[in-house]
Amino acid sequence: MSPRDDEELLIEATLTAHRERDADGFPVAPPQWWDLSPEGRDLALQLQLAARRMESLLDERGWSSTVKAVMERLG
Amino acid sequence: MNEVDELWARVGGGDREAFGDWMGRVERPIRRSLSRFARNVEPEVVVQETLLRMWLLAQNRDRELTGADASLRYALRMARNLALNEMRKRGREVPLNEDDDLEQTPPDPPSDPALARAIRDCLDRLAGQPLKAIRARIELGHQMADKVLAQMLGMTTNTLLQNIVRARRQIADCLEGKGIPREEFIR
Repeated sequence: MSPRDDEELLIEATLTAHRERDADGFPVAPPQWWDLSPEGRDLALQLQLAARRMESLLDERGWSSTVKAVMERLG
Repeated sequence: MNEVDELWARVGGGDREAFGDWMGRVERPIRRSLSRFARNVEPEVVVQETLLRMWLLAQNRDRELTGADASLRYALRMARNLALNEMRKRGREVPLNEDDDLEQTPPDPPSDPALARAIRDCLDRLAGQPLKAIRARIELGHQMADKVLAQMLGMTTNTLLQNIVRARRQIADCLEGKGIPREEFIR
């Protein structure tokens, strides 16, 4: 696997809306995000925007995974 | 009163569905506004925390937001402050004078049915493991970690990620074939 492929997988791991929580309930970054280069982090944001747009367009209510994740947290 | 403000007014009454719809209109501008912090702060955590705190704010009857796009402007400010706090916690240098473009971020436009149809069509053309992987991520990714999704599908986490990457690439190629450039999604 090339370094580029490796970074692609790291970025993909940050595109999920699932986030673990710390002791205070604050969401924490996936461990893979810390391994990204600065350029990789920029790209991860752009690809998060793209992924959420696709999810919201596919959802009947227009809710992305982020919206659904927050709705789950409302309890 | 615009649509975002109307939704926000309903959120104050405890309307969760309205809150979901409100989030759908402001999530993207909030995430975009974090681009200047993207190298130091993971955007998804800030977006989710901002949205959750906006719900708590809406339930506080003593705090009413007034004026056009007041809820969006407040959320943008909250996201910026959360990002700055995260940077301070990690001892990062905090940028100054970051207020300038907060007022210029418009809410998301309503949905684009033609683009939605094109994506569905491209998704339908996927097959095998990439299809299973991206479907699982889209449908369950908000509540399950990739490790759990991978176990459900009988894959390793690495294989799940490889399949999702493959699926995204195939969808992007398919959309480009329909005249929809990759940049369309990143605006």
